[in-house]
Amino acid sequence: MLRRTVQWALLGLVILALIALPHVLDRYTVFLFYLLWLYIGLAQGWNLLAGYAGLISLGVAAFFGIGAYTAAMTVIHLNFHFLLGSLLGGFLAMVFAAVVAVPIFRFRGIYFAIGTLVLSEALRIFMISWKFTGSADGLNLPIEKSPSLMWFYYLMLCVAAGATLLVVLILRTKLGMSLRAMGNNEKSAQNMGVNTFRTKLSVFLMAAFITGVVGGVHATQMGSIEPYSIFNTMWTLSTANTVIIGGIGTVLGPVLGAIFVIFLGELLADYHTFHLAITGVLLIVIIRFIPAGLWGEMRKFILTRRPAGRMSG
Amino acid sequence: MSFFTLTGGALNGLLLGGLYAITALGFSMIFGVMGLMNVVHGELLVLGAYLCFFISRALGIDPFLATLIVAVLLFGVGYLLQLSIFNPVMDRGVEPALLTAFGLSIIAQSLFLFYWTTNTRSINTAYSRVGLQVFGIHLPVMYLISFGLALVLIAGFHAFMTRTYLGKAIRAATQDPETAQVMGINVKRAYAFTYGLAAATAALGGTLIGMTFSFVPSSGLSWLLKGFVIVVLGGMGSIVGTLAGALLLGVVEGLGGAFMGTGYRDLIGLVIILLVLVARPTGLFGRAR
Repeated sequence: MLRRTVQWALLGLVILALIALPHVLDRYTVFLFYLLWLYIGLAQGWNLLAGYAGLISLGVAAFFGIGAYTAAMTVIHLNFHFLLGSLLGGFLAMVFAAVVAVPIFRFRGIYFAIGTLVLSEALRIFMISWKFTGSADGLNLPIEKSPSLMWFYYLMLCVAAGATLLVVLILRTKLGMSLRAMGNNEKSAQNMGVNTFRTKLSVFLMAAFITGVVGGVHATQMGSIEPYSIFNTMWTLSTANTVIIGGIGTVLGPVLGAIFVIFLGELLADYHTFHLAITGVLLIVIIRFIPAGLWGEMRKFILTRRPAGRMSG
Repeated sequence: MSFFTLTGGALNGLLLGGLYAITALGFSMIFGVMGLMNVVHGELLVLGAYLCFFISRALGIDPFLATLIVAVLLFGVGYLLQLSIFNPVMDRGVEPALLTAFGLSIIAQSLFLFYWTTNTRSINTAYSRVGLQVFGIHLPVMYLISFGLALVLIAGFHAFMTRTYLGKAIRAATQDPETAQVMGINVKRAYAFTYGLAAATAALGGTLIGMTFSFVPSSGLSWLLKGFVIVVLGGMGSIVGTLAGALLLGVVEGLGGAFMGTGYRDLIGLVIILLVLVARPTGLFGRAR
């Protein structure tokens, strides 16, 4: 009983701290935290797909970009509020996912991963030429209407928290059980009556939605977007990286991974090229030697030390 | 739209397909033999281009001669890569290997960026930017050379795979690694050799890219995607299929470019394969793996 109370109290303190943060810290650090929430959001979406459904998506940039452009276009041309634009971005990304799901789910395993990469690149090339969305010059949002960074900090925090909560909730539902069954052995799950296509589709749509919303919020925060940076595979890479380093297939893994990645980024801020190389090395090393990621390994360590019958994490 | 422009577009596309075939060969080989989507392939091509660029300048020799040196170097690099980095993760399924390759690709790109900057490079000789007029159609010399080389290379590989012991060993390892191992074939070494060979072809591919177009550290991705399109079109594991897929892509791009302009050219190939895959998930010539 006491442990539970202590846990809730700690959580409450953390929440209070997070809320108070932007009032206390300088602008740059607040921006760093904003990025942290952004990465957590993206990571939870990717983790849902890759960690639980076993679908490695290399097309994060596509959904991120669709969300970004939708938000930007509706804010600029339809005078939508930033919130509405971002939400709409999520929905449009989800629609896109639904449209491409039929062809792309025909790809098995590794074809799927590269298929999503192809999709992402194709979309990027297309957006560079499409005049309707400003082609290579991109779009600029009206500055006068733009909220402060603090506002975006809170918004992205809600997105990240929402994404994490969504994952936690999903895992408790029938969908979550189907996911776990599928993750273990797809054929067996199918034999047990799990509709694997429906399960994969649901997860795919949800991940697309989350990614799209993150993209939408980011676009409105940036104030101006263009296809090279918004549809860049760097988004895909950073997301995958965050999840793998943090711990694929866990709820806290993406959070830890994002903290680590942001921290590493700051450490190597002056050595951009080096940062890139280190990221690659880290990815390779972790996959080879610490495949469960930082949190995954920690969890294993904790679980083997606890007295039997008490699960934590 | 004259018939002339269309034929010109198609013909140029066909020849360009030869170049595409060479650049995609390594990727196709690795995927066919090991089932590994070698996403570092683009970077191997770019590395080949850079090395050829510097070596041919440093030694004052024709780029094709330099390619021989680069091919040996890249063979070594590829062999070691497979042996030390990929072989250990291959047992755990294809996804870890894919992500590992992804990691390697980032490292490679950052190294290129660091050592050779973002300056656009191209390899130029007296003949690399000129063209011939054949029946009024302009055909770049490099396209013709690439096409010829592609035919030779593909035929050579086919012979290698079917007539040499090493080739047959690799094919055995492809079809059934466990039985091959039991029959005395060192499968891990066969894989390493395959990777080395693929990297060596990337050396030639890189040279051709450098001589026909230009390149920067990040050029790898678009060539990788072309390679994927070609493998999917032609069916992975089939050497001849790679050539067919490459020529097809070239022609489709050439015709598409004639119709829609060069901005959307690269997009056409990508859209086409998505459509093809909907109809035939294992590619045009492929077998289910």
